Amino acid sequence: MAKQAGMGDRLWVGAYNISGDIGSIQQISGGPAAMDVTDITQSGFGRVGGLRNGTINFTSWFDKAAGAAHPVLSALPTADTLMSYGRGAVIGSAMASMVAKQIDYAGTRGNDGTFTLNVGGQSNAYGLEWGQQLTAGDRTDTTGTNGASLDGTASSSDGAQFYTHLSALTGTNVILTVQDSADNAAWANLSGGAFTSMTAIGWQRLAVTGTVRRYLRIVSSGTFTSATFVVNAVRNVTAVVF
Amino acid sequence: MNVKAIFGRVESAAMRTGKFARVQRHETKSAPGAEVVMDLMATGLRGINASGLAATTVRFEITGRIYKPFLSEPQDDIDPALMDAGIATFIELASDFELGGEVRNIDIRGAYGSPLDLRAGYITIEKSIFRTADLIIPMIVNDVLPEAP
Repeated sequence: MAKQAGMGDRLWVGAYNISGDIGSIQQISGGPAAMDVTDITQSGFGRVGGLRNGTINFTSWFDKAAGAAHPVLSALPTADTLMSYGRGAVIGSAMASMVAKQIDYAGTRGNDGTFTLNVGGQSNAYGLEWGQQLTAGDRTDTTGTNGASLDGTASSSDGAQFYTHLSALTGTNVILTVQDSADNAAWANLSGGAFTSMTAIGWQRLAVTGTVRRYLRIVSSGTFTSATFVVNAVRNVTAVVF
Repeated sequence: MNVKAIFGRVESAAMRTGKFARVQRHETKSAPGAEVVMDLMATGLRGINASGLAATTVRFEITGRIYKPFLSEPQDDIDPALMDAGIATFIELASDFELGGEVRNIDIRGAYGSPLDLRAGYITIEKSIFRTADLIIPMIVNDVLPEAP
């Protein structure tokens, strides 16, 4: 695939897709901190990976509608939230997710009448992780559904992490389960790959160990007439420790 | 984006001033009469950086051209009449800068281009010269162009 622009992107915070209110994203960064362990025999810096970190900074427009940027971001929760950026919104689109503390909701009102708000997120516990969307942006199911699959090109053996934002639910509950397959035909629940049953909008992070076969899909079940959600799959290509 | 509704709101704002004998939503094809009148015309539209992540917000411009015959008497009252009508229209627009919800805002201060603007000039129609004042009315409209690859 050729170089891409950043149009048609998405941003989720907690249980809300606030993409339409986000003017720009200044930073999506993460990874291990570089620890200097240079010794006197070296002519260049020696470094080892330290603590995992993550940052997402963005600028929001002011929108006071229910479920829009202002009510979501002005709450300034002390508890964790989940921030996810989607580079596009098709199955397989890159997606970065981060369990985060929201830092500030800082407004600037310019002389020209514009009003923007700067928001920062800093990771808590896991750092920022890049994966791929298992749904085409937000997916809305009206009944239990076997979703379309994502081809990971090969099986892997170092486990995976999954993130979900549930932004709408009509009904009693929805259970999202990750299934894998070797051939995109015979499917089985991924061991440990079921999100906890959700009875209201919210978010979750899930980690599984061991083998993750080539193809993945999200299956919804539960008692509902409508459930809207997005899932990010982070397949580990090497052993990870959190 | 409801272009017809936006034109309607601008027209209504102009008529509320009481300064115009008539306001119409097209450029005149014949010479206007002796009174102060205005024609509304679309000037252009472009995408701007006031957008969200997945849809482009646009800036839509309407020009309101005010006419008065160049040889009206008393001649000292020609420009004041045009300016009064233009300023009164701007006051009406600024006091309803979302045009009843049809737009995000009128770009009064030019956050995304030139601001509300009023420029005097002349035009000849059917061999009659008119003194004119063009009102440039820029408006920001949310999420007009959804984006997908």
